[in-house]
Amino acid sequence: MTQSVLSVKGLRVSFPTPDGRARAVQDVGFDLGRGETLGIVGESGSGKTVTALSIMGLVPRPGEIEAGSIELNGENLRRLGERRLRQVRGSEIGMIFQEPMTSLHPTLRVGFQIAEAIRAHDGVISREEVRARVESLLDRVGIPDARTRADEYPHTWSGGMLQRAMIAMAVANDPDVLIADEPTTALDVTIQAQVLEVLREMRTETGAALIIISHDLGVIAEMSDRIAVMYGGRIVETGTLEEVFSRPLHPYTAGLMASIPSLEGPVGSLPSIPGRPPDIAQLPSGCSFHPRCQLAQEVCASSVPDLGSRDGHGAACFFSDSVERPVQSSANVLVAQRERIPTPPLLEVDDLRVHYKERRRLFDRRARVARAVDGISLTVAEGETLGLVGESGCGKTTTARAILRLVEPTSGHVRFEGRDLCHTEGSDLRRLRRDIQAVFQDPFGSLNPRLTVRKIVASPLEIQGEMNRAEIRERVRDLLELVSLGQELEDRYPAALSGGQRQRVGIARALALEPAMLVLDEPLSALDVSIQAQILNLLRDLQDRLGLSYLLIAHDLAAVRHLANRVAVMYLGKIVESGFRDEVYSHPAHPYTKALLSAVPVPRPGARSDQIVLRGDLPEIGDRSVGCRFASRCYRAEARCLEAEPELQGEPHAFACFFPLAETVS
Amino acid sequence: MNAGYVARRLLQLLPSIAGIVLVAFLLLQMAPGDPILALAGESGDAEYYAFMREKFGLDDSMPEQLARFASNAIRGDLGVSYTQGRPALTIIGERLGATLLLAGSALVISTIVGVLAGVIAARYAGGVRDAAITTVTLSLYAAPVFWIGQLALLFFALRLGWFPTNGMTSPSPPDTAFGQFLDLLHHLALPALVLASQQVASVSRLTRIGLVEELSTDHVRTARAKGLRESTVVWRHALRRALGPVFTVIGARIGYLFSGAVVVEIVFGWPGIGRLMLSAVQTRDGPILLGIFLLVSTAVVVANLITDLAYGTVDPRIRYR
Amino acid sequence: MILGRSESRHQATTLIGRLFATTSGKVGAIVTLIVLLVAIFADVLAPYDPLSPIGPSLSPPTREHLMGTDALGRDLLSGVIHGARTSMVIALSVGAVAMVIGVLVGGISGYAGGRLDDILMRFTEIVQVLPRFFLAILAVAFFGPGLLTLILVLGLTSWVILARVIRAEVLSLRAREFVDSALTQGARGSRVLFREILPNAIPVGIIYLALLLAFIILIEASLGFLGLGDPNAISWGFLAGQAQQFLRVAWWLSVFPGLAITATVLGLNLLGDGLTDALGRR
Repeated sequence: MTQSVLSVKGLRVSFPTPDGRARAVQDVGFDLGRGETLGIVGESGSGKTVTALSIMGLVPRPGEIEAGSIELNGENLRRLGERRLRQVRGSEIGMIFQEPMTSLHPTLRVGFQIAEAIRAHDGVISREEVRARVESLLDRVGIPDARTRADEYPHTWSGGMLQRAMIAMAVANDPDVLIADEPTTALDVTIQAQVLEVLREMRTETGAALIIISHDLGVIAEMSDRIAVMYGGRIVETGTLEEVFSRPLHPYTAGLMASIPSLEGPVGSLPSIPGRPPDIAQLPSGCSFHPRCQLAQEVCASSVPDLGSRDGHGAACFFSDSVERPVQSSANVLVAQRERIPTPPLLEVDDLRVHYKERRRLFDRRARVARAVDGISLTVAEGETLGLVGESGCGKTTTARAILRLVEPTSGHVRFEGRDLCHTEGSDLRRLRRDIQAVFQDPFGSLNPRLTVRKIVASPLEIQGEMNRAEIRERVRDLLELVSLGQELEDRYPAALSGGQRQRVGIARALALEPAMLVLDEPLSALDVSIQAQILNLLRDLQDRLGLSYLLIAHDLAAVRHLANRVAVMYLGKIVESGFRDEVYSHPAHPYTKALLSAVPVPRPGARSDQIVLRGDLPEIGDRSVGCRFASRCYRAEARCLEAEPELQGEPHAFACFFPLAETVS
Repeated sequence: MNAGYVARRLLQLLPSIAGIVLVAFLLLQMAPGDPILALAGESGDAEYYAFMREKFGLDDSMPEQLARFASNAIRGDLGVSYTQGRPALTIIGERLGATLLLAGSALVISTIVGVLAGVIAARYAGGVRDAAITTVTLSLYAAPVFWIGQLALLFFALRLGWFPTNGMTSPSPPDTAFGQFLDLLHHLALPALVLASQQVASVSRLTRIGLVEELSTDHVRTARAKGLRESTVVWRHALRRALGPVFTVIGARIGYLFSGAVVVEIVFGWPGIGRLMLSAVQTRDGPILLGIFLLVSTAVVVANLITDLAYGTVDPRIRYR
Repeated sequence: MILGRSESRHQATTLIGRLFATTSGKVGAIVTLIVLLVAIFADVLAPYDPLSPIGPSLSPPTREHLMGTDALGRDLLSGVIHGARTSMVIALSVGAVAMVIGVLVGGISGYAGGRLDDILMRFTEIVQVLPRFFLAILAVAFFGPGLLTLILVLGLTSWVILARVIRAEVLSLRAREFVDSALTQGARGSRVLFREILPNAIPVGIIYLALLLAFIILIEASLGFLGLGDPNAISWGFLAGQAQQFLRVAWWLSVFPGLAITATVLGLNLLGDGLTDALGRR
């Protein structure tokens, strides 16, 4: 190992809480070699972001670094005065944050904000030189037309472009260390691929060491040389990427790896870690993972295991030798059975369109029309799961909302068991609705904060008004049991529940009316990684037990793969490809599907061989388009694609492309 | 900022102005008894009543009256004050300067002091300075302005004798222009500070709340991560947006400043529209009262317009819309 | 504001509990409660008839007259106690009028949206620019002084802020997923509005109601100070106005009524701050 550029030892950071000081970070230490990339992986509250902010000396008040040293090139940053520390920030250490949309000042020009970073560390540089450097930086991170775009304000830039600008800012002064805190979490997967590529390029160009922080093991596996797994404010395992992935020594690491849905391997119920990540303010005694650990013994509750090796492969666990990576049980047989063309469709959507008139101001006659959903047809059969996937703005959520009649479709039909939902009103509609219920994305926003769990779950029963109070009570109890929630939660308000518990309440409520079908709108995306597997398994289990049909709306292709029998891929308001799951995932026909799949980081070292990185941003949904919607970003587009729009054709594997990927044409 | 935005904003003035005129008209009509009594008081002579009846078309139909009233109001011609025998607008104009001086000084003082106090409180949020500033501003915010005036008068003028107690100039003013200017400042200081005090409280509260929020935003964290000086972070990055609310309430503040000025003028014997207005209430001098009401309302509307347009130049998201 | 953050917000579940967990909420609620009680029991609490001369003229505070007497020998303490009643009657009546209009306009505007929302908001903008203080003076000049005139003029012009915050709340709540959920369960519009939306929107209105009451008390005091209040009701502002001409000789005539106003307004503002904290709205 080369001499380390950054060395952190015994870092301890705490925040005051009503019940004393909460240790957000404890005894964290690592060495970062010159040009090396360290991936820090962990769930919310694991202390990974606080660790990064500590290095920058930016722990928000009233948080406080209580102990430890942070040495940059042998200089202890904790001993530095504010003046010298400021020189280090932005010049020797550059940082990239999670939310590009809010991380730039909204009323200062992008170029000016990058120039500030340069001028803060070079007082004598001339205006022209600064300007030239800003333009060249923007150019290097792949902003087209940097000269004019430098004078624009952040709100006219897309998230991907803003994150490039953040990278430009971070590398403006050739830092020794780059810290990227969840740099792509807020971005779509094809944009994530672009940004990670830029980050890799900049790392090479500047020779900086990189700390990349993520909850996504795929991103970590793709970027890192070494990784550190954090849990409950401590590093619980560290080692080289290959070491940790091939033989995890901590039960948490092993459980995490096994619980992540992936694009390869068997499909089935995921081995999930029970329980949930601890609250920093109330860490369990001893090893903070012990309440969730299957290997735990008495000693785990009483003393904190040591990480052992600092440079090699080590884990903070007394029973590292017994750790085994859980295997995903294969339920493929069952799924395969369901893949047979089933009974007549339960839900039929026919040429559905939702167009919005964007009236930007009063008395504006030339209203723009946004074609959020522009002619979608799909079916969902009994007991089947259709996954509707796509990136943000593709119209998948609007489709779901139109099916639920939460927005009025502009045209088209939605038939449920043959009855047309779009042309039913009043009490007929209210009765019809009980058969299609919904589970929403934001488990907090989907529960009325002023009602208890019992009242929330009871409310559909009250609304439909077919049960008396005692029956409702009974039913609520059964429903909570169905989603594995204890009775003691009945009188709690949503604020007192965890994200996973809230989502279970949402599911229980959706099942109250015994619907035939659930519309699941991004049911996992707001949850922690280890909780996602629990909910995913619950959804599978409920489907098996109750024979439910699911329409699953999601951006996470891996999660969809574990739940759906069929998938439909949306791009800018249209379905570009659909078919049985394995067909689409293994042999995508549409270049967009292929690129989308290839952009998903794979949590396996060295998995990446031939990634397709799409150029450009997702276009806005326009008034009308000539030609294929994807042509502007497509790597296979030819003149014809700009002139005519391909139809969705084929059965059961359908795609809308003039030049489908060859090996898939059946 | 494009011309369309300005034009649209100007167009939006019309309903507000119409609303103000309509409210004044309705009040006049709904007053008990003959509207002429509300308009011209009870002590006028027949000739004056006839003149005002003619002027406001009180014998015409209601729509005609409204049209007449609106056209009079918009031209600023509200007839003649009976008590003084001169056009109301002229009388108001003579007094307006003193009030504008008082209110204008208070606006400037309160904005500067308020923003500074707010910045200090926010930068040291949770500390002693913050607690001190917060306590003072909360108290000033709660105290009625005439009471602050009375206390200031009791202490600084009567007890300590630092300031004159009454009026705008000394009984025997100095000869030189500069001396007269100093004399004016001497008289202005206490009432202006008193009038400013309440606004200091609201400005510093707004600044503090906005700045504390801004200082915890992502983009301020970015600015710090770039290695910018804390003062640059505060004054260039955080304050830029934190002052938004301070900007937007200027219109409302103009309204409060005028009403505060009325009261402060009574306390300090300041010869502005406040005292004019009070005597007009006592003599039921309709043209004067209507004139002041329309003037202040219009000032608020115009101030709102100006702050909106100014805000548009600061925030690019509005500018390009 | 920041007179102490909540120390134990986790434990308390009711709004009152959370309110009392904050220092400003506690102080504000207690002060407001005291003023309310004084207003209600003014007849019992006042040692003398506030309107009859019972002591020496312009006596400074003594054991018999804790706040001194005025030029006519009337007991100031009794005046201040009765003044609480006038202030509270006006503030609460104006608050009630404003709340009713504010919830109606804000609720309809936010829930209905579209054209109706546009029209109501334009109307709100017009009312917003009317200078309340001057309008009140105009009304007093035209209609003569009186409680009812004041309550109507101030009430009909003070609902704007309430309508705006309620509308903003309703708008944001309408887009929340639990409202979507209620709709997919087959809930009617009225159930959605009254069970899902308004219970979540009104508490925020109450914060602004507390601040509005404080503001109304200040306006009423200023009008009283100018001698434009109801001549039949003793008010704090009127007492302070009387003090103006005796300022050189009788400081107490100004100090005590002013203190009463300041304490009440401060109490209401602290109550508003405490509610803001208790509702987690910062």
